[in-house]
Amino acid sequence: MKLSGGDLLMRALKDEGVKFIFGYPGGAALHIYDSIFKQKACEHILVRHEQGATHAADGYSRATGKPGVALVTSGPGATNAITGLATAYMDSIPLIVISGQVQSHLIGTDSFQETDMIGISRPIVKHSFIVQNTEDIPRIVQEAFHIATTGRPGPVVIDIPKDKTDPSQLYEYKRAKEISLRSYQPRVLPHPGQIKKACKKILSAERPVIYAGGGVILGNAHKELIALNKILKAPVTNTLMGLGSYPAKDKHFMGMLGMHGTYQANMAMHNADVIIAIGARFDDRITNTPSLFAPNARIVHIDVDPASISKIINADIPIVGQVRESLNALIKEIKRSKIKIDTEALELWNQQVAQWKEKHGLDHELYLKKNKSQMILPQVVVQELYHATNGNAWVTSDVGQHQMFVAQYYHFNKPRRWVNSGGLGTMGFGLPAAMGVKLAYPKDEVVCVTGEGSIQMCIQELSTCLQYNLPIKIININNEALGMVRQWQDMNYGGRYSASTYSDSLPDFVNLARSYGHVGMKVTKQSQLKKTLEKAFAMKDRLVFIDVYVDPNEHVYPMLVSPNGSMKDMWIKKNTKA
Amino acid sequence: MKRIISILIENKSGALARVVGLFHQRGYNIETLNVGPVFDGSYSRMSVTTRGSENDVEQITKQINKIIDVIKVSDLTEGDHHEYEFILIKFKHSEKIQKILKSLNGKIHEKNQDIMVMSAWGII
Repeated sequence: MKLSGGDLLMRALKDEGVKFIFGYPGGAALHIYDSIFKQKACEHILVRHEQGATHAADGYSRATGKPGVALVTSGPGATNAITGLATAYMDSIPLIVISGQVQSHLIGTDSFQETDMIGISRPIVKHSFIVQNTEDIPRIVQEAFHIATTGRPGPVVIDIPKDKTDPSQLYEYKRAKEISLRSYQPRVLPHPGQIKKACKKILSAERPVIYAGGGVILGNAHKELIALNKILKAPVTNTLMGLGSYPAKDKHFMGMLGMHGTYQANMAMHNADVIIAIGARFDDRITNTPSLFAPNARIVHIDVDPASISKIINADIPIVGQVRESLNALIKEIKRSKIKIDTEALELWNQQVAQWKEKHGLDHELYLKKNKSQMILPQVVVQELYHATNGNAWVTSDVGQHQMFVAQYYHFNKPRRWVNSGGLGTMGFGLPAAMGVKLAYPKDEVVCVTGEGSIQMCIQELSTCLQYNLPIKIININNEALGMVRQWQDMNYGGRYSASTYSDSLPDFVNLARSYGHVGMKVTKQSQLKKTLEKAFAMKDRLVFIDVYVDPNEHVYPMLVSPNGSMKDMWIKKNTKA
Repeated sequence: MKRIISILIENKSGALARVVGLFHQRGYNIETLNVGPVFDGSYSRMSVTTRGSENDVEQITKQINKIIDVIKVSDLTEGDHHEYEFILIKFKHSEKIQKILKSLNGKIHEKNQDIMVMSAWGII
């Protein structure tokens, strides 16, 4: 049977196992939308803004490991998808964005709703395709999914001129058994010689640290990471993107590192003699001043992307390879090796880490204590949330103080449960991302922790949640200010709150939630917090928006001292350096 | 220092833009650029000269290698290589320029009352 371009596209998506398409129709995409109408394999989720579509598809991808798919029209539809593409690109998320394009003969004529999507998205995609022949659509979809999901994953754009989905032009559907591109060989196995060198270096370490990032989650290598540290018994820290790749409850876990990392994690990094970096990229929010970074450490760096190695910090032993294969090879080599771990030195080192934790570690029992100020501490909201959900929720977040508080105080024991925009830091990500997660796991608890600033950047998606019955729980940590901006203004700009406050013009979030057909709750006192959360989570089939008013003067600590600081230089509370 | 980078790439629309764009995105500058189809015409060869430290060039070549359409990247600066510059020049009659070009084995392609077109090539 011959199919139109739109039908070829839908058939190809079905064959890739796509369950959901997040999208928004428009002129150039209308042939495709007619093809969507005629099939049942993929459910289309109509968002309220294309940014929401990309973040929802991205959230679905982060939670499931399968590529999320967004569909937008040309022009403004395409440009509205840009922030979502950049978000996925920075965090290496496999995302497929299909954009309608004006008819081929109109391209380049400034026609209605025309924009050069390929050109605009070029720096923020792993790859992009423009369909020139309708019969290529199945092959392009196959290649797009292959490229998005292999090697270092990333977003791929498929731009389809309207005439290529013309319902009167029919073609045969062909699907290749295997995809092979002469210019793209993503499968890299670690070099055995490098594994040997790394093994030797790691086993002779006296003060080793495992520094594991989002690559462990993307590479599905969390079990291997745990297995490695069953042998090494080294202190482990996770990046913001890596949280959940190593169980937070494990005694060797030090918490997150970096800008707002724990005291013990940052101190351990600074004082380590061997750092084992796994699927992490020495981002500037980790290293602080690169020239002052971990002065006595030798670096073993495992990454699938050779360009990530020695980009910021020189790697002494680079290992280019898939994280899982590399860890398996390393574990095998360690088991075979005759070098004995210096258990005495390691014991002293673990004790040192414990002392640091004792000295300035995070207080995970703030929620049990009486707060001197009448206001709720934002950290307490996260702690109560953790207990209300037994630590089992899928948690998405937006960007700012609330994001850091979740990273610090919600203990993630499983990979993929923590969904946030780490690299790009996109406000507005949390709610649509939670929709993607909830569609993937409808029976599980999905929570979006946000702030009154971030939530307003994609709040229109509350309407989508009603249409598709997505009973997400939204915790709005409301400090009536752009909290992280305000914190920087407190610390670096003499408390001059330039454009960071709006307390007299905020909406009534409870009524706002209600007007979208959801349940709204407001909390202003700590004594109400636990009960309100319990009540909200008991409402299994309703979206509940919980507006929690918190102390606006609270800062996120620890915080690395910059500029010109190293990882050991931290503010541990207001006006106090460690 | 000056570097010569040779890139074998798919001869597809947009492939060149991906490479050129990358230099800008990563904060590097292209000094000269030459592109043309090679082999069966489905490949292109780009020769790019740029300036940067060894680390810079390592990062550039790694990033170029990540472009899906790129097949091979080599930094020619380090190894044995031949380096020539070719010039095709149109100028108002000038004995002086003609003499210089002649000394470089220059060839005259066009000559009339007003202008001359000459070519020359040599080692830089």
